[in-house]
Amino acid sequence: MRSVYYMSMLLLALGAAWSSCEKDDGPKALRNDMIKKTDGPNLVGNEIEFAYVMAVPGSKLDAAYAEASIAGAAGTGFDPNSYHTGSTGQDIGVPVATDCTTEGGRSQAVFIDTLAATLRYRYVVPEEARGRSVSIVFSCKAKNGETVSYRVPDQKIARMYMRKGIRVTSDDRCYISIRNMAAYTLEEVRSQGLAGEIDLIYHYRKVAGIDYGHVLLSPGTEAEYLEGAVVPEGATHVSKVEKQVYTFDRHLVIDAKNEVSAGGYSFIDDIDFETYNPGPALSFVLNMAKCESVWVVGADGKHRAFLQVNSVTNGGMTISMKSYAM
Amino acid sequence: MKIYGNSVRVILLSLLALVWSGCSEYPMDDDGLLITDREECDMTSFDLLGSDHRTVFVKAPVIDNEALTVTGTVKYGTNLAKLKPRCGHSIDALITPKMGAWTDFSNLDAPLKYTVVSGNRQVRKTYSIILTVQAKPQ
Repeated sequence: MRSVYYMSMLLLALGAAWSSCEKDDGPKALRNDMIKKTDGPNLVGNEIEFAYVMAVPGSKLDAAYAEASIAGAAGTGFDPNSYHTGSTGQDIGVPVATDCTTEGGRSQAVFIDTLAATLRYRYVVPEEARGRSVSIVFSCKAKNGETVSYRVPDQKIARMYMRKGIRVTSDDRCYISIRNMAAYTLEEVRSQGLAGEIDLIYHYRKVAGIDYGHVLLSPGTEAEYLEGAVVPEGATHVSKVEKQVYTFDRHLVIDAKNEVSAGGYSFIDDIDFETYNPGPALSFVLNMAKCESVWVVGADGKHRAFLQVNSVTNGGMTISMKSYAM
Repeated sequence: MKIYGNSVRVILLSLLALVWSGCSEYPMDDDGLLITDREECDMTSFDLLGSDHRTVFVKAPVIDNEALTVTGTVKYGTNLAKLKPRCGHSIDALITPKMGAWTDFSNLDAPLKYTVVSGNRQVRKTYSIILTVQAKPQ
């Protein structure tokens, strides 16, 4: 009785093994897929990079296409290379396509001689897409006439503005407007009538026993904090300013090797400006250092900015900022 | 059969041990903290964090467990209206009101008070947080 049981089990196991070894011919039709390589919010002027993969068994790829609902800015289009990773982690490109062109919202790449490839497509976000959604549809045609397509989930383009590498120097180019995302000299403020647009004054001073150093002051803040700084006539804004250390925006980094976050990387997005509540914030911050940042809410409450310090020298800082109008 | 019987016994004993070890002799309070029999309720450390989540004290504040005071000097330019307190305390004790939220310490004439309550919830010590601001630069 027992041997019958064992024989039955053996036959069942053999049957299962046989059925799992059935020959799988794999996909027989043209197929495609996509991943988005860029992370963080989509900003005007920045690239959004996608990797579009296509394969066709028994034929060759003919051409790949990308159709964007809003034409990308200069630089938008397919990269003719297919990449693999080298021994040290670097991308190594192998040309697989030619005739990579972009006209209006349509980009194309014509393949040289391949049946499978991953092409990178870069969409450079144009100004007209600010605050809107962009749809992109990838498609591929094989030489046997087959076609296939992939619709990318709509890409929301942020409303905020960004400017990097603004050099500020104490007692010189030290008047900052978050609305204009620029720093001015006293002469420029006077000659261009910008006093009403100055939100912060950068000042540097060494004070024994006090953490003072690199400071950002509202023109209208208390006089004791403004000591040593020149306030342009008519500049009276009292902005709310709040120092951050562990909020570090990756978009605002200029030199990735030398700008290292204390608390990891993140991205400031539109929603952060919309939901930021400064509470009882001060109108100045003292002792700013490299890789630190500040939230700024302009005196009108409408214009907001996130400033990040890229580097500091005695009497100067390089800053980058994102700004947003509520 | 004997082996089978032994296995059942081992499993039952293990289950009993698990059930027994899961039953604590201490009750819990509304916050899920154990009410133990400890009577100690000292504050062992205290700190105030600014908006950058860094300490605002010039040096570590002094805790007087007799006078029940925490005395410290905060940096020049500190935003006293938005500080986040945190502290260390005796084992099983708790702090009331709770710390860890943005708190207004700007009225220096009326120091905020925090009470440390012992593990047995029978002994309470209320500490006053006495702050001074570093003098402005000359």
